[in-house]
Amino acid sequence: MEPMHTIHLEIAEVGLAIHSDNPEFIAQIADRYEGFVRPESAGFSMTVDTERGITTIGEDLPRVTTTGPDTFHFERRDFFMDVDKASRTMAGSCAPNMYSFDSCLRVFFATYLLDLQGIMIHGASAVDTNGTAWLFFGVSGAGKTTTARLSAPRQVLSDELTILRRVGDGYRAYGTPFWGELQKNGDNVNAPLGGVNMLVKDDKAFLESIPARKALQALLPCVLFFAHEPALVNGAVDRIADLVATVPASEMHFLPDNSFWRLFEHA
Amino acid sequence: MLDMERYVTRNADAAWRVFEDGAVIVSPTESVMHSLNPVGTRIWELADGTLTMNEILDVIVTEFDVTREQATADMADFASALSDKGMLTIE
Repeated sequence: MEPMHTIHLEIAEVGLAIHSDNPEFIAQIADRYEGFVRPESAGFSMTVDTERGITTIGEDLPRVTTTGPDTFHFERRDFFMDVDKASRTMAGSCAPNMYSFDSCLRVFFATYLLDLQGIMIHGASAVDTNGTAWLFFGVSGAGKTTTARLSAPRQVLSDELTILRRVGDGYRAYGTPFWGELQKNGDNVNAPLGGVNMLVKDDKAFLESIPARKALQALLPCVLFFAHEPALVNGAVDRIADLVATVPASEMHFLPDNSFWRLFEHA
Repeated sequence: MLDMERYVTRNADAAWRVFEDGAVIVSPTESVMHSLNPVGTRIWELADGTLTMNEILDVIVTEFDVTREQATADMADFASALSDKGMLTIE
């Protein structure tokens, strides 16, 4: 029996101890998720078999299935996992490449975050000079990567996928390793969320407050979520409804420069 | 013309949230989202399978500034559209 190798990650305050008998796979994870590696973790124990005949990079959509009160299963052509939330363990198989493993992690977090009063949004986020995070969301081409790029030297939490979690009376935005184009980026940092902003390209920069219903409608298509079971979908809708009831939601009209930051740094 | 004595029942699996200016309903199986105006929202809220469309119309014409004729036409369109999308059952 091959010895197991382990690496510890922490993403949005969720610890993951990843075990595999494939040392090259663990080394790839260490490199890919550099900013999120920890010397140890308290959280989930994830055992990954990379040799169980799965070698194809999948293009189909993942499927998520509740298998018990505290368990769920998710799969795609190139990975599958059985998750036990009670014992905080998961085991399965994944093709030995970072595209597959990254997708596997995204599906796990997209589902498990609901239990943590959290959600993952297709949105860039960055922290202003006052220490407040702002989410910039929209469909593909809306300008997420642009706003991230124009946010330097501020701390950018992500240019693609931001995790939001309810903490006390508000929400916090978390940096994730899930950046566009699979760039190796991101740091394990978080900040209180000041608001959510739907991106609108314009020839002037201004914020227009939007009502909760419009914000919910705009955000729902931007949620990273793969489950179709009614209880899980209801959970995701509940989370977004709570988010828009808790933090300000706006349309952010912006130019292709960093002038939009003036809208927040005087807020 | 739709028989307004038929009962309407919203899809029990749908996720929905009501706001001051309307509602958002989501079909879990197709992950499709629908936006309802205030009248549509009220019809959706009343569509629990215990009321006929005529009984729902009685409420609508009381609560909103709309003629019964207009409300009936709107109700028929609304119910048919949501029924076609599997969000409402008419029986």
